[in-house]
Amino acid sequence: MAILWRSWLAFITIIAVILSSFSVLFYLQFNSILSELIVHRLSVVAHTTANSFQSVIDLGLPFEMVNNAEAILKRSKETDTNIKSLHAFSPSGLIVYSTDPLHKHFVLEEVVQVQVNSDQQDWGIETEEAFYSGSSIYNDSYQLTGGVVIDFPKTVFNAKKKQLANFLIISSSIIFATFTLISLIVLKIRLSKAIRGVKHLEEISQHLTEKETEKAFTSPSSESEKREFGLLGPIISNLKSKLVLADGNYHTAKSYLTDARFGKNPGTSSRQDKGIIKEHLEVNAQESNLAESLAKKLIPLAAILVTLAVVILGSLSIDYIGKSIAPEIVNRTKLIGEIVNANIQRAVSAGVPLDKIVGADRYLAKLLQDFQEVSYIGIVDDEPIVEVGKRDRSSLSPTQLLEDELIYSISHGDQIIGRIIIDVDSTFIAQQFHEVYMDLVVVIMVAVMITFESMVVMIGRTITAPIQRVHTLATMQALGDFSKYAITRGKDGFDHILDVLSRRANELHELMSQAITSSIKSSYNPAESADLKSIKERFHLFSPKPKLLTFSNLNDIRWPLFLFIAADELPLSFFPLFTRAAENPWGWLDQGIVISLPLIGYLLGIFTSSPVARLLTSVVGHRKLLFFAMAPAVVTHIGLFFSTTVPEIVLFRTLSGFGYAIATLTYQDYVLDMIPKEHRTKSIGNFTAVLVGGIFCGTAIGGILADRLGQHTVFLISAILVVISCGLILLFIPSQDKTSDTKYKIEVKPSSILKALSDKHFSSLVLGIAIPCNIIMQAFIAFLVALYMNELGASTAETGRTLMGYFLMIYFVGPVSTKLSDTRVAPSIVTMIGAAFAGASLLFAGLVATKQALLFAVLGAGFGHGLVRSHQLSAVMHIAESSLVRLGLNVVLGTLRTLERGGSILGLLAVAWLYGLVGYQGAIILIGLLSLLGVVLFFFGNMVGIKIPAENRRLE
Amino acid sequence: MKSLISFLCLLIMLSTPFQVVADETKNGKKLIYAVLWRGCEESCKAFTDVIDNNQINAEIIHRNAEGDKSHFVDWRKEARSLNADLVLTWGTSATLGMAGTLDYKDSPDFITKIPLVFMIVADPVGSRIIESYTKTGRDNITGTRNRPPDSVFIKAIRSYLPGFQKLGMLYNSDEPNSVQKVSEILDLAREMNFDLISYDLRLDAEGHPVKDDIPIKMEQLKSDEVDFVYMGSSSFLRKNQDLFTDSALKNELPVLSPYQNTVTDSNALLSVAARYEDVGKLAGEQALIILKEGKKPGDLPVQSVSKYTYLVNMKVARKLNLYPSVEILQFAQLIE
Repeated sequence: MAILWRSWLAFITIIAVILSSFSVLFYLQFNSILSELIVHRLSVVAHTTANSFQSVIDLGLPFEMVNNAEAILKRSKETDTNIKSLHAFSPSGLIVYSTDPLHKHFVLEEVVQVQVNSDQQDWGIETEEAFYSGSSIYNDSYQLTGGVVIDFPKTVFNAKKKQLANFLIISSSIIFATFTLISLIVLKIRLSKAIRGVKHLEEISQHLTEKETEKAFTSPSSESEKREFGLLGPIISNLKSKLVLADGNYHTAKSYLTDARFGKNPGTSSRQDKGIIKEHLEVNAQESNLAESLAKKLIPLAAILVTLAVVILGSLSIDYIGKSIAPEIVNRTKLIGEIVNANIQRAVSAGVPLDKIVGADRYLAKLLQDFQEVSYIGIVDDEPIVEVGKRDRSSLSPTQLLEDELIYSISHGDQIIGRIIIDVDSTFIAQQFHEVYMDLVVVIMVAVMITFESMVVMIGRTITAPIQRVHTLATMQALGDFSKYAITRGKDGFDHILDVLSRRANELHELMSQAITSSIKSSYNPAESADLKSIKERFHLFSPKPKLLTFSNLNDIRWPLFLFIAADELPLSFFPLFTRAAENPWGWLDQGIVISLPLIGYLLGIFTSSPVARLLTSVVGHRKLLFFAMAPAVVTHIGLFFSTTVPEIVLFRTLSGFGYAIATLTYQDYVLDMIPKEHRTKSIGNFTAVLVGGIFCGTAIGGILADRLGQHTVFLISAILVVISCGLILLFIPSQDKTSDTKYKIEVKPSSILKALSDKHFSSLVLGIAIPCNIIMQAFIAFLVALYMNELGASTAETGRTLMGYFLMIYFVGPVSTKLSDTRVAPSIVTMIGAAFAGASLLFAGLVATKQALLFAVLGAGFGHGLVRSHQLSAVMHIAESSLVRLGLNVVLGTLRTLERGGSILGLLAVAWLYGLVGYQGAIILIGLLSLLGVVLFFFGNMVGIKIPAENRRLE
Repeated sequence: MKSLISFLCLLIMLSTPFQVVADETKNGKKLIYAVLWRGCEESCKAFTDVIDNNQINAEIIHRNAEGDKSHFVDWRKEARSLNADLVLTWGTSATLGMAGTLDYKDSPDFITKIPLVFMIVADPVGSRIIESYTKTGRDNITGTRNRPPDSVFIKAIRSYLPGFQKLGMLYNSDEPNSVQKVSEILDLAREMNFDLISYDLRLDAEGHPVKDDIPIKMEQLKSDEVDFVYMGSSSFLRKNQDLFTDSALKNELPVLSPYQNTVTDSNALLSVAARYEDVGKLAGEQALIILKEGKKPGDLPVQSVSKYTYLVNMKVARKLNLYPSVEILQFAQLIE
């Protein structure tokens, strides 16, 4: 039953992870959306109030000098009963007018700060107690002369938050309970045969135990067994074949060490035995991934259940959000209508005839410009008097007026003398909903990514790993190798067999030690010594005790890597703002440069530490180095939490660059060193996917967390994630992970770089592919895209989603493409295709100045880089093992990394300078051309593709 | 000898009423000598309220010129003989009458020793009463400023009438401040790119302006196709504000006045003015600093009113068919 419980535990953990991930993210995102909408709605009031003061400023008077300013504020306050107060304040924050008679002298410092830092007229800030929505007032010279701010308590908002939390808890709990039950039933049905198989293994283990002193285990597997034991059938069948051989070897060894045949030289295996062994090994090779195949059969089942759970919760959530958000969006437009109505009504009430309202067209046109969701405003009686914007309707008769128009009456005395009609731009409103749903899609994608990682790790560790352990040990012993033992953790049939095999290894080692002791004690007999030596060699009994059998797998580092990278990327979406808001003692430096200093420090940290990563790995070992590289990240994140000045931020960010480089390169080296060569490309592809997935999730979640919890708190969360990551390192990575036998030293000196570059294969790869790709990454993706999209009128959310497209493409393309190259296409060809595609995409974006073209370029770059990243390293490894073997792998890798990083820093600086000269489009075209030229260079430098080496699986 | 004794007796007799008054008024109180041009209106009352509400033992004597400058000589003497602790003056004429210009800042004929606070003076610098608003240049004088810069008036006209290009003015050459104002507006016209048409009012044989000339000159402004009329800075025009604004209205010309009551009580269309209550209150605060804290007036800068009101007379607007815009209506105070 253990396999059932293990599988069920894996399933419900996965379901719990996705439901809780989704719920938490949805909760945070909903709050973010709702608060943004509230501030957005309030900005209508702030904006129109500020415009009233603007008219005073236009007279040349300070707005403090208007006598009935309080009346203006009072009218604005009456638009929403939940508004606590409105203040008009000077640039220093001094409150000049207020609706609150007991107001303080100054507005909150944060309000002043956000006004100063905002490059828009309207701005907002949220504290624990209230929303503050404001609008700035400028003079003729566009100098800030004051502002209007609304104080809107969060009472209603907090009530809605609580409602949402209750909804999510109840919904998630019901869905979780339902699906745990369903998964138990489904698994019980699906694994019923497998459960029988495990029981059969129990019987085998008992048999092995009982029979230890008697005949060898000879029970063969049969075809009927394969059918009888369902998913475990092939595994059990294969295992039994091995156990037969292993049992035979055990008894043979034991008999040599215990009975009178002790003096005989056991020799080596006979040719017939070798043939049997080979046949079994070939079978083993074909079914080498039996454990994985079991997992693969369970993953779709898990995926279906998980998908169903998230679809249900997602549908409920979207319905909930639709009902909650829609009124807020509409309320804003209604508010615009009410304000227009109030102002026109005031004119009419003052005695101005409706058809003689001066400046109405100008006033309405400005409103249309300021509030994009309004497509038309008209003042009408029987005929239009003033109209601005576009209206789809052809007649104004009441019967023709549709519901999505907002209509307000204008009265004079008791008579209605006209109407104000506001037409809503349905495309704009749909766009707002679209933005909301896109944000939710991001939430779902992040939740799915987290779940996928959990799924792979959980199933790998709970199901695949135990089976792999027993198979490995059985295979070794089938080959006569009793040098290892394994620690059993569970109590099912597989673990019992593992236990038997481990005990046998221990037993043989003990017998060998006794034999050696006995031989030493008795008189020296060369023949005896030779026999002992022969037994040792045949049965691998070299050491006094067997060594612990360890496994290395990408799953060992999957979660630690994912969490570490996500932690590092959490602040990505707001770091420039965080730096800009900090106290700056370097006022003499251009602000743009100041904001970029942390990134430059970060890249420099990466650049300087990259060359030594390989050396440190060889000396310290992966596990320790990862721990020592990541642990200081906790300190740097906490340091950033407390940072209030630019120098502090630069310092901690630079230090985090060091840690980031060493950690990620060590993770990569773990894959290179510990994973069998034949699976290298695929594993690197998966590694890249995990890395990019972490970047994607970190970036996506970071913005949401910063919005809800504050920027500083995000660094604390990063620190916590790194702590968890460190813990997982200690838990998952075997403590005896192998360091290199060769002692590497730092040989990445200018001379070694030149030597490496003298090889045309290497130089064409680095200069043609690696550096241009990194320049695209840093200068285009991380720098130009955000700036250019902003110029094209994109919102921050849209820019974020566009950038995430890059990481998504890498996430999916990388692993898929490695499947092709493992068997069919040379990595160098795939690399060229990827780089060419990326370059061509950028050329297109440079020529067509639209957001869609830019999106295409970002996706194209992601697609191209997904191809490149997975294969470039394989290509480098091949070069290091062939034409540059004289330099050694670590020098070649170190040189590659050094040149990549150095190139990206220089490239970023060059592009930052260039775009000022040639514009965004020109700079993008130049980067695209660089990439394409690089492909040509690489082509001529590498005419021969890289052949895939023969498969040879490593067990350690 | 006899004549000397007679003279001395006469002198004693003449000084006695004043002495009596002085004896009667002083009795330990501070004496404030208020010289008004047209009686105790809102600003005067606001000043009085400030004095009364601030626990200062003071008495205010009012002297109302009723538009006649001839009283100032006697009042200067009276103020000195009464040992007034402070002199308050209302308007340019009264201030000039009591304090004189900068040329007379040391003259014993004028009030040059007794602390003096002026209010409702359109342009004290232009009228050469003081050197500047930050430092008056006269040890005994400070005051209040109640007018926004003229550029504000022009912008107010432009905000009301975006197509405005020609401004009309009438002025009284008998009033230096009135002449001065026209000159200032002419400079502004060059700077702000509009045209100024101005006419001086005809003077009678005694050199006083003839009020009947107002309608005639207004017709001339109409024929010159001015867009707006600015009242400028003239006590004479203020005194005849009804005639002024009625003539303008008859000629369908809108009037902007720097005085709020020309809008509230007469037929000017538009005004950007301080409330007189605020001016009086400010002058009262200046007086308090001098009387309670003993500060020297010359050390106190001229205080400017902090708030102005944009006034629109809607009745006139309807008659002229010239309505304020939606933006103006959001902050303007409307008068019916």
